[in-house]
Formats: sequence, C-alpha cells, structure tokens
Amino acid sequence: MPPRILVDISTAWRMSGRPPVGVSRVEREIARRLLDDTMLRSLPVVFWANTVYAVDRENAIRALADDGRSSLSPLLNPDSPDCDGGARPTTTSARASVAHATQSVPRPGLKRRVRRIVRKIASVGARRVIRLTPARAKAEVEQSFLHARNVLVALLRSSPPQPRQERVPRPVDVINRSLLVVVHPLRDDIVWTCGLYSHCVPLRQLAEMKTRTGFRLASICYDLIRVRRAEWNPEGYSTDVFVANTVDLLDASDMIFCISGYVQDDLRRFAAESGRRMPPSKLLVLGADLPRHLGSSGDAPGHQVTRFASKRFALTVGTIEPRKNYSLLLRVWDELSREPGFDLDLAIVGNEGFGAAGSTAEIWASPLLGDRVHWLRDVADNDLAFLYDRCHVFLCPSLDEGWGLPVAEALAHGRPVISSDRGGLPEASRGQATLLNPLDKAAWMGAVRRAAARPREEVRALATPTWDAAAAVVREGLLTLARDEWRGFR
Amino acid sequence: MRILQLSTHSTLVPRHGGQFRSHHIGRCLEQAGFEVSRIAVCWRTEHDLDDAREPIIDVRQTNYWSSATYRAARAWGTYFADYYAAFAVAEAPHLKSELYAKIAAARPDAILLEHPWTWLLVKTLPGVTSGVVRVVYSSQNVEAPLKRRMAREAGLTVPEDLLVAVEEFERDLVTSAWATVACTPTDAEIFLSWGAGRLVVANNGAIRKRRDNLLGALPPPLSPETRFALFVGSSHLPNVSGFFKFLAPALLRLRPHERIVITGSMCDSINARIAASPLRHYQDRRLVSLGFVDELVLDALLANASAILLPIEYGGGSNVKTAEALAAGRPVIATKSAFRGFAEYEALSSVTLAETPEAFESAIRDALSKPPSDLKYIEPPRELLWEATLDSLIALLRSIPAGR
Repeated sequence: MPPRILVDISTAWRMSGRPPVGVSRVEREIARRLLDDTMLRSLPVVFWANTVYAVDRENAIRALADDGRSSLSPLLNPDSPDCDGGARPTTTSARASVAHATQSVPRPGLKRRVRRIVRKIASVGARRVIRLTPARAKAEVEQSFLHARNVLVALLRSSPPQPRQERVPRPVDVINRSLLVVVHPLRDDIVWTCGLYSHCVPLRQLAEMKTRTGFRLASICYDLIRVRRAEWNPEGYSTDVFVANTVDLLDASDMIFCISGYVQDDLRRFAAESGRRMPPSKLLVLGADLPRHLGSSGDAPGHQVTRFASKRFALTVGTIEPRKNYSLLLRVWDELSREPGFDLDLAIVGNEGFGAAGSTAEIWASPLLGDRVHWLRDVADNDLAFLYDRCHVFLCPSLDEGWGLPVAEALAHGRPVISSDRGGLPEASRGQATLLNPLDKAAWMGAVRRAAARPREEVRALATPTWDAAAAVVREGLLTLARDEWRGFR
Repeated sequence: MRILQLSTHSTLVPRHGGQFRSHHIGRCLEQAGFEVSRIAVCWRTEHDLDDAREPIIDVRQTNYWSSATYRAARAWGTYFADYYAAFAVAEAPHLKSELYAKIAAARPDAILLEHPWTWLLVKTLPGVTSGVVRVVYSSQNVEAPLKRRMAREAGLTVPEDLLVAVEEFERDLVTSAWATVACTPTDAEIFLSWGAGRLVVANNGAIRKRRDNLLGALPPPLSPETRFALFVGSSHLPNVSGFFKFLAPALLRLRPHERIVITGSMCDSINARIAASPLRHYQDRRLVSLGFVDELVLDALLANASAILLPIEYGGGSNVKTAEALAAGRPVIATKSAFRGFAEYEALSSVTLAETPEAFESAIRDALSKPPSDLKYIEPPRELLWEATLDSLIALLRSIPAGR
C-alpha cells in the first residue's frame, strides 16, 4: 500500500480569494498534482489552531484554484482588479468600468487621449526650448521643466494616491466551518508542506507532533534572505523570527527540497552555523508553465492587460518590496524616457509585500506612472501569461532571489531577459539572460536602451521546466522518505 | 431517448436512501446516454437546490393541508406524506398545471416514477393513456405492507381502508405501467403476483470510493484512543426502532474507550427518545450522536469504524446502507432483514448476522475488542456498484421502441 501523504494546503486555504504569490503558487501547483495522483494515498490538510484538519477534496481543489476572481463578485470589490496606471477611479467609476469590462474590452478614454497629446506637445516644446538655451543655463532650464511637470502632474491628478484597500478575503470563519475532521497523523504518514512557514504552517507544533507519532515531514526551503539580510525585513520584524523559523524547519524536516543550488548551499551553511544537522535535501526546479485556465474569464485576458496588446513594453514581475529593486527601474525609466526615440513602457506586476510602503511610495511618486510606467496588481495567471507573451523584454533587477520564478517563466515564453546576477537568478536564467549587477544603473540603462532599440525578438525557448516535473520530483522524494531506512535519519 | 424522473423527493443532493437510489438512477441513465430530466413533487426543504435540472413542485403551496380531508388524517399523516402530497397537487389547479407544463416541456419518451404516488397525477395524461409515453414504475419497496408495519411500530391506528387504498393504488400502477422495477426478488414476486407485465430487478448499489487516506482522521469528540461501531441512518422509522431494539442495550456494557456512533437524520428522533428514557443517565461517553454530517465526516467515520451496524428489523426493498457498508470494506454487524437483496454477501467473513439484542451486543464487543486494523482498501466487486445493479433497468429502458 502506498504511504499516506498529508498534503498541507494551509497557505492556499488562508489566502483563498487572493491571486497566488510565489509561495502559494508552489503550494498550489504541487498540491494539485499530489492530490490528483491516484497512486498516492493523499489527503489535503490544513493546520489551524494547532490542529491538523482534513479537508474535503473538492474544497481543497477549490481553494487551490481560487485566484480571487472566481469567488468574488467584481462589484463586491470594485477597486481590486483595476490598474494603477491612471488616476485612481472613484468607487462609482470603478464599478462602471468593472461592469463595462464584463461586456467588452474598454478603449482608452477621450480624456486620456487628449492628455497624452498635450503631454507629447509639451515634451517636444520643452526639448526644443532646452536645445535653444545657451549651454551655461541648459541644466537649470531642464531642471525647471522637470519640476514644473511634477507640479502639474500633482495638480492634475484627481485625488492624491490613497493607500490601497485590502481585497475582501473570503471570511476565514466561514470557510473554516468545513474543518470538522481532525487528523491524528500516523507513524507511517508523510507530511508534505511548502507554504508560508512564518504565518500559516506551525513548524514547531508539527515537530512536537512528529516526536509523538513518528511521521516524517518533507518541506521546501525557498531562501534565507530574511535571515541573511535584516535590512530588507519589514519594520518591527526581528530577524530572529526568521532565524527561529529556519531552525524549526531544519529540526522538523526529514527532507528539505531547495529551489536552487544557491539556496541549498546557503541552508547548509546556516545549518552548520546553527549547530544543526542538515537533513537530506533535494533540488527542486520549480515549474515555469503558467496555468492558463484559472481566471473567471477562462482563456480570455482580463481588461487590465488587454490594453498592453498594442504597446511596446518591458515587463517586471514580483512582489512590491525593497529587495525587488524596482527603484532602479524607475530611475532608469526616468532617464531613458527623456531620450528621443525611447518608446518602451514599463509594466510592473505585483502586489504589495512585506514592508512595501517605501517601494509603493516610490512607484506612486514616479512622474511617469500612468504614462510610461504602469503598475498592475491582482493579475491572474492567464493575464500574466498574456503579458509575458507580449512584452518586449523581461527585467528582473532583484537584489536577491532564491530562484527567480518570473525569469524562468519569461524564458519559457521565449522572451529576452535582463536579470540581476544575484542569488539564484543565474541558475534560473540557465545561461539565457543578460546578467547585470543590480546596483549598476549605467549598465541597466545601456542594456534597456539597447533592448528598446532592437525590434522585438524571439529567444529560442529552452525546455520549459514544468510543474508536472516538479511534482514528480516531490513525489519521488516523498516515496523515498517513506522507505524505512529514512526513519533512522534523526 | 428522453426519460423523465418523477419523484416525491429531490434527487440532486441525496440525503437519505430513497434519494440516493433516485440520484444514482439518474446519474447512471445519463452515463448510459439517456437524456434525463427530473421533476420533484414534494415539500421543498432547506436542503433542496433551486436548480433548473430539477424543478420542484412545492406541495406546501396548497390549502390541502388545512382541509378537512387532511385534518382527519393528521395523526398518521407523517407516515403517509408522499401519498397525500399527490392528492394535494391533484386538488391544487395551479400546482397541477405547473407540473403538466413541466412534463410537457420535458417531452419524455418514458416517465420513471420514483415511488408510486405521482401515478395519480400522470395516469390521465393523454400521452400516457395513449401509450405514447411509457410509464415505468421504479419502486423502492412494496408500499402497503411497509406502511402497515411502520404504523403499527409507531402505535398509530391507521384506518384499514387507507391501507387498502394504498395497496390498490400501487396495484393499479403495477398493472397499468409499461414496466415495473423491483429492488429485490422478494418485491418482484409480489409485483408479479399482482399481475406485473414487464418486470426487472434492479437492486440498490454503492459507489466506488477510497477512504484509506482517512485513517486516524476523526470528527471530535472521537479520538484515536476510542474505538467505535457506526450506525448511519435517516429518520426512517425502522432505523430508529432498530437502534432502540438492538443497539441501546449494548450501551450498558461498553468499555470506557468504546463508543457507538450514530449519524444521519435519525439522530434527532433518537436523541428525543433518549431524553425521555433512563438512557439519558448513562449514554454520555457511550453514545456519540453526530446528527447529519457532511460527506467528509461520514467518510472519516466509515474509514475508522471498527464495525458498521445495520440493526434493521423490517422494511421493504433493500437498503442502500447495506450496499455502502459492504463496499466500505469494514466489518458489518447486521440483522438478516438488513441483508434483503444482498443475501449472497451474508457468508462473507466480514459479515456477522445478529437477530437479537444479545447477539448484537456480543458482536459489537467482539469487534471493538480487536486491535484497530488498518483499512485495507478492497476494490468492491462490480456487482455491488450502481453501474452493475442498474444494468437491468438500463436494458429495460433501451428496449423501449424508438419514435412516437
């Protein structure tokens, strides 16, 4: 009889109704495949209040598939699916736009087109004035124009940017009514968990439970960035929290899958530093094949991305936080957009992450926001695939990554990639990306300028790492773990 | 071919045996390529879906229930609710026309009557009288003797002429219908003796479902330290009386970690009777009454039960829960009556037949004293699955001549 696999879906369960972020995507893609595997005795479970609950398979699949667009009526949540490229709509106009979006793809409004023409005329006029200005005063005049533009943008904006309202999540107490069956793990069970350890997966309780029953636990280590780089941790979060989590991960796990060699090496170092034995670990290459059928609109891309169909744009994808180094791209765009002939827009796709306030403020403060820089949030998978397919170039200036899933996804879509050379990104780019120092603005300017000057090119797509393959690696690892000789590891 | 399932309960989300049978009949017919439409003539409950696949003619919407005719029958009305529901619709022109409009919209080649009661409403339809639309009586049991027994068990004095009318009603259907479907060979013999023309036996069945991933998964207050025997049942009277006759005495001598778990809509009736009996003083930590539970909880109970109990003393047709118990792969402790229609499985080593409270108690204690063995998933034999038990019904419907 195959071993029973308790497949943890706590993160998806808690984040039900929200678009998947990196960790929840991994949990979702692996869990769905483990649950679909008829050769495994798998049971979806949720950790809640120090208890392991069984989840009805149908509910589990629903939670794993719930990208936030299927469970919420758009009118309940008028702000969320909108793009922040332009002035933030009032609730009424947002409702109207959402309602309209269900009927047809909206076209840019007249107001917007007029604004664009005025901006172009002003830009050409200003450049001409600067050109005619004597050299000794050129810099001052240029600065004056930039200042005037910022003032005008601020005045014309219908309302100051407001902090983003939270999506309306599915009420946890409602969904938790279905948590009725308590799982008492058995000695031969394998627990598979890959969720958010700091918030959703009680590693310490699991370790205690494991001591009592003797089950085995397999987990994932995504990175040790929060352990290593305290400066990127959100205010009020001590690095010790993440150190403790990682120690718990080492203590609780019988096998740890690492998403890159970089992470594996770092975890090994951390184990040595912490006086812990490193559990057996396996490399897990995450899938880069985006599911295409999860949005409420099925295959059709949503209204917030269709407007990019006719644009030349560079794409960057990732949670909004300081580590992602979007400020570099904003500065690059700020300078390049002044160059004649530079016609590449920048699309930033990502929701606010930990300690996002500074990064968010930087985006809001960009005078190019809504014109050359666009910020899209709550982007469903099929919309993201649409953007990958149509972007001119993909950019990843991150200061550190465990792997670099967006880079792998962009390469899988056959797009040229300019990436930071830090962390696991060189591994994720598999020799196909232009790798740059993420602190070298001049190098990024040059690379983006050159990419913009080139016609759209197709990069020979490497064999796409798939989620099927990733799940197969996990499956094989779990079955190995089930063999008795692994019980002696601790 | 278009089949209309006409029932006196909804079938899309089954909660009791009758609904399960109708549900799986509809499902298997669709799988076999029939175009199935459904109409339920019943009291709409909170559990019924508002679903275009099964419009509900809500019999609540008539004055019949406050009429003198029904007031006189109120004492036994609960046990004859289906029977009276057909009269309620017959006497309510708006419901009748709503029903006929929906039947006309379904344009059936055959009407499958789940229960005999709606015969009253369809027998005069022109399509039926002309024989263009075939009526198939899909019985769940032989009604009159079961009603008689239930009335007696409940201590009701039901007028004999009502019981005679019920039997005559069903006899009329059996002799008039194009074909009759019986649950068991015993029922079939009765229908044949009444003059049934075409007749097939289509027993109740089970679904194939793995539950071995739910070992050690238990709804509170059950814990891995407790061992339990499980009885699942609807509020059907034989379930309630079976509990008190065969199981309640066994509660007295259960060990501290042993429980009898009951679940299903019968729990309300059982709890009410316990509250008025001495059982209320010692049932704590012996009896766990979970009420109606969702599918995951039921699966967890079936996966972890030391035995499944079927204390059914009487009834008609066969029991869906017997098929489910056999398919679940757990030890079964049952009366012979619970094995109506499943006699060929009585000799299985996992089956213990018990005909007295003492025999039940002994078998339960024996089952609970064994170390909890891991549930070995045993593929249920195909003959136990609905897909097999309904073969004869599907063949019967396929034999209806095509065209009008």
